[in-house]
Parts: sequence; C-alpha cells; structure tokens
Amino acid sequence: MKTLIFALKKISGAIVTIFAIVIANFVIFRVSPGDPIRMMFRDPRVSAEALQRMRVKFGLDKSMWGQFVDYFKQLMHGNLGFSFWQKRPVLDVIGDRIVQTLILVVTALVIATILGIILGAISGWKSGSKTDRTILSVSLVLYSVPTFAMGILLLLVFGYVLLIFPLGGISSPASGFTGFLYAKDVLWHMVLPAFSIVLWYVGEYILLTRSSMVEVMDQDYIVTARAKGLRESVIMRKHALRNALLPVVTLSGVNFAFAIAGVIEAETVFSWPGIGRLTYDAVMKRDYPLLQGIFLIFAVSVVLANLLVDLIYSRIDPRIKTGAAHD
Amino acid sequence: MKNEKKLFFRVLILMVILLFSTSALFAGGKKEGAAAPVQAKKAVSNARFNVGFTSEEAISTLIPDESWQYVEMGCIFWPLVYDQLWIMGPAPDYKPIPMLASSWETKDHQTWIFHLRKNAVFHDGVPVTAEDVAFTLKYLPKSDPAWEFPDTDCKSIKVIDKYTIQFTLADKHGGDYPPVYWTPILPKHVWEPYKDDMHSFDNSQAIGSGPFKLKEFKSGQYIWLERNDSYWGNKPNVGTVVLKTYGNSEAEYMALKKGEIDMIGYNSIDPLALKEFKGVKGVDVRIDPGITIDWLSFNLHKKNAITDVNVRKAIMYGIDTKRLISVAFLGYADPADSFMYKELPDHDPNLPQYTYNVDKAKSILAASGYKDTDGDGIVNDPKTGKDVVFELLGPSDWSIEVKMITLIKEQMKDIGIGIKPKIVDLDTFYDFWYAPDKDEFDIAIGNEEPGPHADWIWEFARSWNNGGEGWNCAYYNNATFDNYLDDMTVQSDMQKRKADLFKMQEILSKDLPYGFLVRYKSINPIRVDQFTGYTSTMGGVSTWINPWSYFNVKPVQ
Repeated sequence: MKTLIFALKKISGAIVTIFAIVIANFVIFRVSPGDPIRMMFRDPRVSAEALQRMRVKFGLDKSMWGQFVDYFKQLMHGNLGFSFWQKRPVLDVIGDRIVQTLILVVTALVIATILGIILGAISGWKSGSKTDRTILSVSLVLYSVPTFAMGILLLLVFGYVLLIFPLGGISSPASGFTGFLYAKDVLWHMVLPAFSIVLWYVGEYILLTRSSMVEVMDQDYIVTARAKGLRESVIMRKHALRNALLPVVTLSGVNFAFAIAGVIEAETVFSWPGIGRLTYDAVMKRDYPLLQGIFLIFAVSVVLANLLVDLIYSRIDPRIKTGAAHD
Repeated sequence: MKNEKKLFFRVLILMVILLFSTSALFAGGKKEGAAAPVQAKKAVSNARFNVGFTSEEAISTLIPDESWQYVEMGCIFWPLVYDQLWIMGPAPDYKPIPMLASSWETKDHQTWIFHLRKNAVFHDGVPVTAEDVAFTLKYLPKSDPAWEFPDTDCKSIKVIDKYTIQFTLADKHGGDYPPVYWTPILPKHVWEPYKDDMHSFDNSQAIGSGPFKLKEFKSGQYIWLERNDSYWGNKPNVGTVVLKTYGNSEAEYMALKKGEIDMIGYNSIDPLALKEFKGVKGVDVRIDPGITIDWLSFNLHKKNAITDVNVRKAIMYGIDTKRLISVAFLGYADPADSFMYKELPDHDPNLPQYTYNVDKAKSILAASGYKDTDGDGIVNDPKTGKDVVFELLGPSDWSIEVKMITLIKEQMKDIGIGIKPKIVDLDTFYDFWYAPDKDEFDIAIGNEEPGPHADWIWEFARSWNNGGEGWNCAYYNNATFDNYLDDMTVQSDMQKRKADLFKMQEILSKDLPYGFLVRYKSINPIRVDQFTGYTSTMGGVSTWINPWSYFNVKPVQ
C-alpha cells in the first residue's frame, strides 16, 4: 500500500510538472524576438496579405490564449502540430532525428557509466594515493572542458592529423552502403561524437563514484569485512561499491534524459543529424511547433527518468518510501 | 593493494585497446570514405567532385522557397539540377547564354518570344516543352515572393507551339539581358497537383532538366548528384557531385586540407584562415574580386539625429575604411561607394567620396549645431539636448561585421558620436533590418551580393511610400530617385540607362540612406591535385552567379 501511495504521489507530481512545462514551452518561444512568419518567407517583399494568410494558416492570428487552447487540444490528441519551417508534421520531423540521437547518447552513456564507475571505485578505494590523484585530476579536467572544445580537438587529432576517423556526419556520403556495411559505416562515424560525450560524462561519474566510495569506506561493515579476512578486491566490489552505487543510479537516469537535450554541442560539431542539431535549427527559425515538440520531449524524458529513478530507488533502498532515510 | 593497481591498469589497457581496435575495425571504412573519390577520379566519366558546406549553409528540404535563393547550398543545388531559359555567363563578360531557350526575340521589350530546344528532356524522360515554361511563369512567382520580379511578372502567356512561348510582361524589360533571370523551369506534369500551394510539395525526387540529377538527398547530411547523361548540352566532366555538410568551418577546412573535399561550397574563407592553406600540398588559393558589398543602413524612420543628413555625412567621414579593411579583413577587401561594382561600366566614377577625415566630420557636426555641451565627450543634439548615441545593429553570425562594428564604435568616439552595438542572431537581424518602421535600430550593418546583373538591388532604395517597403531598409523616400529607377528598369537604350544609373548613384551618395563601406575579396582554397578547370567569377569559384566550376571541372590527368 505504501509503495502504491508513494508511486501515485510521484506520478501525479510528474503530471503537474509536465503540464507546467507545456505552458512554459508555449510562452517562452513566443516572447523571444523575431517573427516566425517573416522568417518563413525570408524574402522581405512578402506582402501583408501573404503574411496574414500564413498567420491564419498556422493559427498565429489568434490571441495567445486562443493559440494555447488550440495547441493543448492538439496535444491531447497526440498531435504536436505542423512545422513552420519544414512544412511537415512535427512528429515526423522529430521521428526522423530521434533515432540517431538515441543511438549516440545510449552508446556514449553506457560506456561513460561503466568506465566512470570502475575508475571512480578504484580512485575512491585508493583515496589519497598517486592513482587517486591522477584519476581525480584527469576527471576534473575532462569534466571542465566544454564538449565543443573537446569535439574540435578530437576532430583535429583523430580526423585530421591521424586520419583515423571522419570529420563529421553520420555516414559516408554517396557511398551506397546498405545493411552491414552501412551499420559499420555509421559506427565508424559515431566513434568521435560518442567519445566526446563519453569524455565529458565519465569525469562526472568518476567524481561521484569516488566520493561515494570514500564515504562508505569508513562504514562498520567494511571494517567487519576486513576483519573477516576477505580479499580487498572482494570487499571493494561486493561490499563497498554496491552501496556506493546508489547515487550513481540516480545520476544515470537523470543523465540519460539530460544527455538527449545536452547533445546539441556534440551534434553541432560533428554534424550529427540528431535532435540536438534540429533544436538549434528550430530556434534559429523560430519554429514554434517544432520547438514546443522538441522541448516537450526533452521535458517528458527528464520527468519520466526522474520518476523511474525514484521508483527504482525505492525498491533498492526501502528507507526512501518510508521516509526513514530523512529521519 | 596490488589487485587495485592491476585493475586500474587493466582498465587503462582496455580503454587503449578499445580505441585502437575501433580504429582497426573501421580502417576499411576510412578507405571507403576518403579514398573512394580519389580512386573514382581515375576514370573521367566516374570522377566524383566533393564540395563542403557548413550546417548553416545546408538546405534541409528541397521545397523551392528558402532552399533556392536564401540558403547557400540551395543557390548551387538548384542551378545544377534545374535548367533555366538562359544563364549568365562567367567573367569577364557575364553575357547571357542560351540554356533551355536556344534563342529569344522582342520588338518592344515588353512582349518576348522564346524558342526552346527540341532535345531537352526532364530527368524522368518527359520532354521539356513550352507548356512547362508557361506553367512555371504562371505559378512559381505566385508561390513565394522570392520569385516575384518584374522580369517574370506576365500580363499574358501564350504557348505558340510545343517549343515556342510568347509572354507579355506587365512593364517593359530594359537592359541588355533577357527577362526570366535565374528561374528554374519546373516540370508541369510533376508540379501541377501542387500549383496552388507549391510549399506543400516536398519535391523529394527533384525532377529537373539540368546537367546533374538527384541521386540521394539526406537532409542535413549531403546531396548526391549524378551527371545527366541525357543532357541536351555539354555534359559535365565529372560523374558525381557531392555537396557535403560539416558541423563548422574548422571541420570543413580540415576536410579540404586532407582531400576529403575539393572545394568549399559557397562563401569565401575567413581571411584569418588563409595561412592554414598556404603551403598545403595539392591546394591552391584563388583570390578573386568579391561579390559581397557591406554598407550601413541609416534608419530614417527614427525620430532622432540619424535623420539629419549632416550627421550621416559626419559618420561616413569618421569611418576609417582602410583600417576596417586592414583589421577586420586582414587586407582582403576594397572600399565600396555604390551598389555597383567599380569595374562595371555602369559604375559612376565621379561619386563623392567620404574619405576618412576626423576634422571634417567634427566640423560638419559643429556647423550643424552638434556640440558637446555637457563635456562627456559625446556631442549633444541641438534639438533635444541629449547625447547623440546610436544603436548599431549587426548579426552575430557575421564575425567580420561584428569586428567592424567594434572598430566603428571606437572611430565614432573620435568624432563625438556614441555607438551602442546591438548584436542579434541572423534571422532576428533580417527581421529588424528589413522593417525600419519597427525602430529596432538606428544604424545597421548589412550586406548583399548583387552580382553583375542586379536591377533588383536598386529596389533597396525605392521610396518606402512608393512600393519600397520590403527591401528598403532605411525607410528612404525620394520621388526623384524612383523616377530614375523606373526609367532604368524599362530602358532599352543602354546610354540612357547608364545615365539613369549614374543619377541614382549620385542621389544615394548625397542623400546617404546607405553608407557604402567595403567589398569583400573572395578567398577560395581549391584542390588542384585532383581537379582542374575551376572557373572564377566575382565572388569566387562557387557562388550564386557561378555554377560554372561544377560544369567545367575535370580530373587532373
């Protein structure tokens, strides 16, 4: 019963958050400078009548409230609207790009999480040692370098000097590859953008895992395990790391959602045709429906990831749902 | 302790192995991606010409609106895939060259007859006929204002026979070029269902009749074109053209240096990047006269001192153009004084010159009552007593112009005028710049690429109250200018037309709705180890007036 009440509370909180985001999404883009209809034409000689026709076509002739009601009705029917810029349904436009982003983000985050946990655990376990200091320094540097700068550096080293990887894109242009060859080609193009994301996130995971490890190392159960004569590697893996992983689980869930939104820089530098690059273009074109659609997906994925983490967390650590952890 | 050390080193080794094994795994892929063009170039008929664009320059759809005229990749893609009735030839003459039309005739410069080639076919095998031209002229200008020009504004269109079309323009079409400039001829059988809303058709097959045909379009990634072997005219020397998108200009420059692309698709490179290409094996750098002219638009709709022509004159005398050129362009630009390029016969060589002269600028201001009454270094407006401070608008995307704004701000201090830079994104800039009545700027730095045949550029100065709203980004009104402009547009006597153009330039130079600053030089690095036959025009080897490089390049033997 407690679990059900806990889950219901979290779900209702998520619904309220998403509703608030829908409103914010709608308002924010409309108060930014620039007229989307004028931008749609680009030619400044467009007549007032033509502008008005387009305003009517896209419902921009209505009051803000009228536009919001239309938008909300559409949303309830699962319709995200029609892109001003691409002249296609928003869902189609996003659908074309989201897969590329998911492939990139999931691959990068899985690698970053595994590497970050291993290196963070070693660093925390050997806190104060040379190994710890080296890992800590490297992770701080990686965490501080902006993805954009790291991307350019990777392109320069691996794409230009060493000639190992391509300078951008998702596949070799005009290759005619299909099937396995195409998949291999995409993987080859994905190495550098994924690596740039890995390098950024791995630092974060290392730092978090390390600090958790340092905390649990002083716990009684670790002392007990040592007193029992268990090997250090067993204590680290089976006793310390398991407990230290709780905050990492939280971060992984939230990071996944944020990474989809935060991949803009990597996609821009590496010309990866995903949702990040689409967001940048949609902002430039003041494509309200597309922006609303993209940001709604970003927001929903963050909220859902949070909700999922909360629910999983309550299974892993029962103190959460009883509130004992705060007592 | 030893175990952790071991684990640590194992992880490190794993990472290194991972990286190198990935490289090894994809070593084959590298060859496919980078070396294939080189291999292909051995055979003339299959040679692949690779051209780079940045993401901002790439088209995201094949819809014929912004993708044709306002996006760099579109300016190249459309003329390669779609034939026009005629095309402007390369430098130095820029003569009209028959394309789909083998000849044309007119008696009064208002009614025109075009005779079409009988052997031209669209990429799907359907012959090009007068019906297609009539369809294009009737519906394309209605689809988007980007297609509305006086030379396509037809009162009547008559298909005389399968290969002959006659149309009567709303007004006479003057000058020595025929009408219907830079207009793709669309296949009626493809577009007819969408004739009333051409934006609703995604045009995914892009059926044209041009020398190249579309093989594959991947939005935001690349356009793959193949030579049209059924083309009526001279076939291109390369089998494939790939227009590839890069995330930024740094990646694009690296791609050219390593041979992944052979040419940069549109814009001149930044002068700062020039040294990167010097000494690179297989790369030559061409420097051509530019096509882009930068100018200041003074917003005459504002209710402040910018409407005083003496203030505008003082500003122009206060700008050290030579310094702008040496600092912002590293010397790769020339001073400009008109919309007309100096080497063209229609350029008036006797225009008043606003040569940098701080004392003269100050004396003009003082004589007009602008004095620093509060001792803050900024002159005060004699009407309001307020400091004369102007907002100078520019787009963040144009790094050179942003540098110029910074320099102009410093130079204006010397004559006692304050400048507040207002830097916005490019789309917002255009939104503000083309709407001076919104009062979003006092001065704006803008540019255009008129080219050698550019009657349209003078519309920037047509009176706002006489149909100029749209391109007029100064809120300028001058009926005398309009009279000369109207006459020039319809004038077929070239001497009279030239006299009109001289008068128009003189008026603009005196009234100063626009203050002309500089003309870019075009800096184009090209791979000469792979291809020869690049064609230069003003603006370089690949610009909106120049598809010739694509038609003419051939592999190095």
